[in-house]
Amino acid sequence: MDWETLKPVYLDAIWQTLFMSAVTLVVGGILGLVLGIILFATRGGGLLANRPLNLVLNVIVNIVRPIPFIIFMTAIGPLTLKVVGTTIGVAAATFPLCIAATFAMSRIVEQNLVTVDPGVIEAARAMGAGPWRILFDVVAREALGPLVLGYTYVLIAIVDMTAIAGAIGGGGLGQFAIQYGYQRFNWTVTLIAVVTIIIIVQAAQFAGNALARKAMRR
Amino acid sequence: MGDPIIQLDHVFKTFQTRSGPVHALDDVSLDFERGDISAVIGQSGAGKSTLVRLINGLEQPTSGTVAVLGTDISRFTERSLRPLRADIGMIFQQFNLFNSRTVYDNIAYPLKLARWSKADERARVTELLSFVGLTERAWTHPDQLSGGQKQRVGIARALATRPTILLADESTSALDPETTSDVLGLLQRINAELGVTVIVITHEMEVVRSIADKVSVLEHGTLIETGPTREIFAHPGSGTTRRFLSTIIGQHPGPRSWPGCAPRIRTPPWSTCPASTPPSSGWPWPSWAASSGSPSGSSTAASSRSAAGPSGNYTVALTGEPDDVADAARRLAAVAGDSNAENSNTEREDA
Ligand SMILES: Nc1ncnc2c1ncn2[C@@H]1O[C@H](COP(=O)(O)OP(=O)(O)OP(=O)(O)O)[C@@H](O)[C@H]1O
Ligand SMILES: [Mg+2]
Repeated sequence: MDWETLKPVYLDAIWQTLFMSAVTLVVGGILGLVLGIILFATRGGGLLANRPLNLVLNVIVNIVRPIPFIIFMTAIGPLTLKVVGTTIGVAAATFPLCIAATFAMSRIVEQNLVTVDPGVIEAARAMGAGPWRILFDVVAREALGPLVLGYTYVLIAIVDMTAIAGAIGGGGLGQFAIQYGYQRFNWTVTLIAVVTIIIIVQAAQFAGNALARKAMRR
Repeated sequence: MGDPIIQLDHVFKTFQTRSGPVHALDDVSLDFERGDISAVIGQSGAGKSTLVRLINGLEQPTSGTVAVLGTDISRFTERSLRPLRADIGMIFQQFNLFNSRTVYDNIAYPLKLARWSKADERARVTELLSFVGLTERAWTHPDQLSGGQKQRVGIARALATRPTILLADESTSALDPETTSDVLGLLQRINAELGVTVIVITHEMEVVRSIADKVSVLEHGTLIETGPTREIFAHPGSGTTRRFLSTIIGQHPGPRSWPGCAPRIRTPPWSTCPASTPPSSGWPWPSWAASSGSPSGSSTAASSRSAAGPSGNYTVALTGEPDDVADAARRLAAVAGDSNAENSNTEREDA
């Protein structure tokens, strides 16, 4: 296969990878933020302390999070089929990506929120701020710098997961590398896919670091 | 009694901990008067922070009632406490500023909560910045400020919504002595100029001495003493109070606790102000000082008996011709010399 034929496929694959990553970052990022905040707030002594809810959420997160993504994706295939209507293609890959990213992000959010000085939370309470207001206005905001770094970390994990999704029919650079590189013994194509992924990851890390520096003012 | 703005009635507070129940407050009944600067002093773990946190509902009593501004808040929910909290400012030992916000936005935050308009907010923050002397630092972030500056931001933030009560929990404990007196001076101005009732929690007698009208002593969750600062200083009723007093022996009394006495005098504990008659028991007071000859002496003195005999010190204001004053000072120093010469340093104020 010559490059002239491969090029549109390659460009399409880049676009698919970026699309899946972006959608997953936004959807998983928002849901992960909410879940992480709830995990944080329902802890014993937290702003919305609720032991049973906290326990249930923790168990769910602990069950889902360690499952390798390739297995997770196939395991929730039936659910994906119900929700998206198919298990093949970019849309079908994005659904499990969003779920996996939500759970991964929730822990990172929770970990960053617990580092916020309880004294600052107390000060906000003493001013008469309500718990939700404190969670978003004060706690999440005080942890913004580390949160941005956490998002960067998760974004890179997402790019990695899209490649895995591609290997089992999810589209994107992963599928491109497997289908046109690995399976046709075309090492150059594999290399091109790898270099492209590295560039995407580097750009993401660079942007994330810059944003975090801005958030932390150093 | 006067006009209590906060009334604690038979308050108990017990924390359940892994190592068993901790009785942080044990049957405390205490009133705070409107317009006063009241201090609560006690050793670490005595229950001071717990007590002050009851006042704005950050803690609820296990039993007993806490009435603030005439309302019993001891069973209030978090939500129903919110309006009250806007009327009670609080400052903290570690300042607890929002590091992600500028000085301006820290002070504006309570106003945002209270839904002030942007224009009103700007006017109020500007006014507060100038009140605490930080106008130039409005757009810096708290991590670029000194401890004293941070506490002034904390004070401005606490005052933003024009509260009736200001709670200060160890607000100067993280500051050096000079910065401490700046901050204490600011608290006095807040009390005097804005009429805010101030409650100061501290473990430093120096803080009590310099600003408090009333003082309450807590020990192991129990209120062991309460009353006007001057009376407690003069007649400490417990060993704990005396120990606290001994930490500031040798210092001048605060102008507040000792109105009308110039120059500053001091000693814990003292008995009269100014002494119209020479202090009697235990003081080697020269006979000439009793008669109001020349120079005339207005004096304050202290007498307290401890195991080691009378202790304390006194400061005398001498007025007269410079030579007479110098002579009198020398003679007084000679009298004091055999006890503790250090305490006989003279402060001169030429009339
Ligand atoms: N949330 C809590 N859970 C369990 N125990 C607590 C809690 N808050 C306070 N205590 C305990 O209650 C007692 C009184 O604490 P408090 O903080 O009121 O003391 P304090 O006088 O303010 O001391 P310090 O000068 O060290 O600040 C202490 O024994 C403390 O360990
Ligand atoms: Mg304390």
